[in-house]
Amino acid sequence: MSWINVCEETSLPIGTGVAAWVSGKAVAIFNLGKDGLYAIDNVDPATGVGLLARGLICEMDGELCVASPLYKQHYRLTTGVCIEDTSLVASPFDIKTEQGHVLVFAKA
Amino acid sequence: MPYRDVPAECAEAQSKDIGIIATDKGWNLYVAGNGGMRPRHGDLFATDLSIETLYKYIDRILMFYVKTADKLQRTSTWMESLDGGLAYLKSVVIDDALGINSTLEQQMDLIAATYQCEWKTSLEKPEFLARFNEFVNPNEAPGTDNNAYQRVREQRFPNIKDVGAGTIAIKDITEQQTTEQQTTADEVVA
Repeated sequence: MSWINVCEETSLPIGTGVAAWVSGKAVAIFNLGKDGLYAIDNVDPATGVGLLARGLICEMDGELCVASPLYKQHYRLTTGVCIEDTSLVASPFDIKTEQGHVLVFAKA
Repeated sequence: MPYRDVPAECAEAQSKDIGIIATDKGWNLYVAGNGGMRPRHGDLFATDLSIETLYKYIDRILMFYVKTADKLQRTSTWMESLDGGLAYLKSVVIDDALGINSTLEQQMDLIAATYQCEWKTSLEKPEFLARFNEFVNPNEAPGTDNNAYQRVREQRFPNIKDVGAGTIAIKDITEQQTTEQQTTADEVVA
């Protein structure tokens, strides 16, 4: 239970996602500039494949989402809950920047 | 832009936007040919040109095309819609009827001078190359990522709960059908 220093803030691409290792777990980080910084599990719960960081960012029902590249389920960036099937959750991570570093809160 | 050193048209120079064919005395220049769905023979623009004149003419023609054609318009349709057609293009490019040839050449020189290979540029910029890394901190990877891949029929395959891509697709369709049936049933009750 601690904040993990993942990378420099400048190494995050803007407007898209990138995967990061946080305590041995793959986390998808989305740096949307002024629209915020989000982190959810990189593993797509619908298929179990780690690829959500590669998904397209979109807005559905006024909420920012990432579309899984495989079967196009949309996961809310804030809660990780799937729009099409609320039983699917890509668990969200707390993320912040501090002195130019990106920190993700590791749950375990 | 194909060229050919025999006049037998082996490189199909007359079916291209710009085609040049070598002759005994120099180069023949063809313009506005097209292949594909709407083939068009290139028009013979000038004959027996020296290599310097050839370059000049091609530069001027291409810049004039850039200035006057519609967006995405092929040179063949451009030539057919050009008022005055080939004769007009000849008067502009060869006789400098509009007095713009030096401008056209300067603009083409600028384009040639500022051309960059996007692949090369990408390879020189670390921020572009970084986009090819799946992980922003690859050094933090756990020793073996057992979660990512499994072996199916001796091939590497993403680790999906049920084995095989076909299985997922079938499963998803059945789930979808079940939910659709339920929805229809609910609507009937309502």
